Amino acid sequence: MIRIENLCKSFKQQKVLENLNISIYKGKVTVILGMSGIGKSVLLKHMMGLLKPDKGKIMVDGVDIVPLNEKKLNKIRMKFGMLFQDAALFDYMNVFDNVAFPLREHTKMTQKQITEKVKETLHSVGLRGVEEKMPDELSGGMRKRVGLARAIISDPEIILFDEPTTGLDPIISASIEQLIKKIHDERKITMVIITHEIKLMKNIADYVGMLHNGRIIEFCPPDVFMKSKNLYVKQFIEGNFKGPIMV
Amino acid sequence: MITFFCAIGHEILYFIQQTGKLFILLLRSLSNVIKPPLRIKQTVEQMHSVGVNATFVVALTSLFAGMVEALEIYYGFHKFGAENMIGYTVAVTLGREVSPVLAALMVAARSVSAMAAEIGTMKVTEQIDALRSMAVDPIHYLATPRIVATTIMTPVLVILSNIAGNIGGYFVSTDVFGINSVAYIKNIQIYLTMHDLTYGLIKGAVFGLLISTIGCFMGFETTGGAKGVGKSTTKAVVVACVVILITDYFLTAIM
Repeated sequence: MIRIENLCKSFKQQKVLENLNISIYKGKVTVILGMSGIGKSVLLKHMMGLLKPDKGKIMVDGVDIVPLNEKKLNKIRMKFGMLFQDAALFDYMNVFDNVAFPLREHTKMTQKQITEKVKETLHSVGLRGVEEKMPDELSGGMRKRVGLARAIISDPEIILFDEPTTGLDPIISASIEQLIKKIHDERKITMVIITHEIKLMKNIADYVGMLHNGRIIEFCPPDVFMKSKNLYVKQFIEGNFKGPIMV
Repeated sequence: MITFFCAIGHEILYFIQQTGKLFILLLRSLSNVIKPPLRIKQTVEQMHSVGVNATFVVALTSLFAGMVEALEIYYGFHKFGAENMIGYTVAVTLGREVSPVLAALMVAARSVSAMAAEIGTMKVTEQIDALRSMAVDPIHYLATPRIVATTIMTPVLVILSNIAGNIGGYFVSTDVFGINSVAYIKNIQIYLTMHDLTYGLIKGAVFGLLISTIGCFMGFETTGGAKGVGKSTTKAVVVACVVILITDYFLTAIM
C-alpha cells in the first residue's frame, strides 16, 4: 500500500533520513520505533506528502507521490487521516467544528447529516457532551480523542499516528491504545504509528520498524523484534543508555 | 574580507528569495479568489476584523491628524493671508496622502500583526499541516480571505479617515482660528476633485493588498515556537510599514 524507496531528507546540513526503505502493508498496523528527534515525524509527514524528500520514491497505491503538485497530492491525501502529536486541533473552533471540518470541506452533507456523523464519531472515540468545548478546555487525552475523531470521520484508508500516547498518563495511554485497537478491528484500516513506547508496540503492532541513523535498521513482527540480535534494537528495548546508541 | 562579502551576498540572495516567495503567495492567493469553495464566511469575518473593528482607532487618529494639519497649515498660510484655503489644503492632503497612509498604518498595526501571529501560531502548532493533511490548501483557506478582506476594507477606512480628518480640520480652523465656515467649505467644493479622492482610495487598496500579503507570508514562514511567532509578528509590522511608505512614493510618482 505504501512503499518507500531510498528516501533521503536533510534539513540544512543535518541528514535526517538516508536511503530509507520501508513497506507498509494494507490493513496492518505498522509501528515505527526510534529515539526522540531521530526523524520519525519527518518520515510520517513524507508518507502523505507534507514534506518533499531530497531523493527517493514514495509509492502510495502504486503512485509515486514525490513529483506530484499540491492539487494532485490532495487527491492522495483524501485516503489518509492523521493524528498529530499534540492533536493540532484548530484552536479557534470548538470540538464540533473541528471534527466536522473534513465533512464541510469535502462533502455535500447537510447540517443534520454532519451533526449526526460528528456525534456518532465522537461517541465511537468515547466522547459525549464535549461538542461545544474549545480545544484549550480539554485534557491531553481528550484532545487526542478529538484529533482521532477528526482523523477517522471521513473514513480514510490509512491513518498515521504521530506519538499517540506521548505525554499521557499510563491509564489514559492504555485507553488511547484500546481505542486505536478497536478502530483497527472494526474498520481494518491501515495504520502507521510512530512512537518510542515499547508497550504500545507490543500490544498493537503487526509489524515493527526501528528507525536509526536515517534508516530502518530492523523490520519484522513484534515477537521477532523483541528477540532481535541487533545491538541497537536490544539497547532500545532494554532502555539502556550504554551501548552502540550514543546519548 | 571574503567572509564580509559572502555575508552581504547571502543577505541579498535571501532578500530576493523572500521577495519572490512573497509574490508567489500573492499570485496564488489572487488566483484562488474565484476557486471553489468560495470562502465567503471567512472573508466576511476578516472584513469585520480588519475594517469594522478598526473604525474607532482610524477615526480617532485621523481626527487628530486633520486637527494638526489645520494648525500647521494656518501658521504658514496666515503669513500670506491665504487662511481661506486651509479647508481645501487639509482636504486634498488628507485625500491624496495622509488618509491612505494613516489608514494603512493602522491596519498594519492592528490586523497585519494579527495575521502573522494567527497563521504563525497555526504553523508552529502543526495546524497548517493538519489543514494540508485534510487536503485543504492553507493559502486558499487562510491567506485569500485575509488578503481580499484587507484590500476591500482599507479603502473603506480611507473614506472614514477622510471624513474624520476633515471634521478635525474644520473645527480647529473655524473654532480656534475663527475662519469663516462657509468660505472653508466652499473652497473645498471648488478645488477638490473626485480624482483627489479616488487617488487615495486606489492607494488604500494597493496598500491593503501588499500589507495583508506580508502579514500572511510572515505567518507561513514562522518557525521556532512562541519566540518565532513574536519575531514574525514584529517583522510583519515593520516590513508592512516600510512597504507602505516606499510604495506611497512610487504610487505618487506614477499617478
